[in-house]
Amino acid sequence: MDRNADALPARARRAYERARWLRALPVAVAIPPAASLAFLQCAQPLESVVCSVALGVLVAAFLHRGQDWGRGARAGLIAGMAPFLFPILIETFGSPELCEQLPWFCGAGGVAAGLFLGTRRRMRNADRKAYWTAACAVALLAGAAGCWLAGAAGLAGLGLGFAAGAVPALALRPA
Amino acid sequence: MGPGERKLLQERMAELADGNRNAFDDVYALVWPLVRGFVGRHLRPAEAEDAAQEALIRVFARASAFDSSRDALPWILGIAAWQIRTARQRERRRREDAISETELARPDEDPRPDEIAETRETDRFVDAALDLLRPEDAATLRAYMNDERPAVAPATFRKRVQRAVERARSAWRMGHGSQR
Repeated sequence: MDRNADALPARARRAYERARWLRALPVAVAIPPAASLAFLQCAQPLESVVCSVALGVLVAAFLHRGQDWGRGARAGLIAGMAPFLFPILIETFGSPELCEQLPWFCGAGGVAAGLFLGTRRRMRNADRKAYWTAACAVALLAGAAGCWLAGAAGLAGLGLGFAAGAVPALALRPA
Repeated sequence: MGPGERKLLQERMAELADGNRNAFDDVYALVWPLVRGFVGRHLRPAEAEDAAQEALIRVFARASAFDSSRDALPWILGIAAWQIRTARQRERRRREDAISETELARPDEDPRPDEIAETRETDRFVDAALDLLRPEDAATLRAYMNDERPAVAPATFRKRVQRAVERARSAWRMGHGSQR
């Protein structure tokens, strides 16, 4: 161990950053197995795998960065559950007629995610740009891991639904 | 640490726990003198500096887990106290190891088996030689070997010893045929 007192601030900073990565790592590692629900049903498992791994890396990076980036990532994960789970549940338990409507369910999940994020309580002194960037990126990636079941139409439904839920909610909230 | 500094420390620790890197320098400037002073009061100077540095590193390694609803000062001092305890245990173990090594390195005071055998052989030889002598010569040589001085003049005793040795050599030569 370097005992030089001049290097102490740098060592302390490294210890701090390393600890933040270690705290973020379990979440990143847990995400791909959790997303394996989608792989089981998916006709395009590679895309879902890419989505879930990218999601894990992104969430870890935002949690490591902390502050509003970390808060946004957490909110995005919760919001992304709806578009992630809707198509999986329909594909698993729904009738063949319902399965043909999968892009609409992706859209509905997107609306739910957008509404959830758009109506969340605004925090004081928050870096809204950081929060929204992290939240939208994570929610859309999480949703995409499920909506790959419906192909490109599912992804389009997710994007449109998300915008349809978030934009009015943001526009209507008091300043 | 005054109330103002303590309040600042609390705020800055909460910010650092949240991920605000701008709070790092302030926390460092507040925590390092605090930890160094606290550790320095409980350990010898040779150990205190290393232990204080380790305590500081641990404070920053755990800073992300700091719960801002708790008081930062006792939280930091708790980490430093744990480090003091660790340093003391390490020092105690080092001392115990050093004692064990000294004990292992110390020469054995008991004679080795070959030395014991040699001494027994010599004793047998002496006893055999003394048995060949007259009782008064044997008593003189035994007294000489045991560093005892009979109540005679030293010169007389020396003369008796000299004669006893000469008689012992002669008797040994006659009995064993050797110059030994």
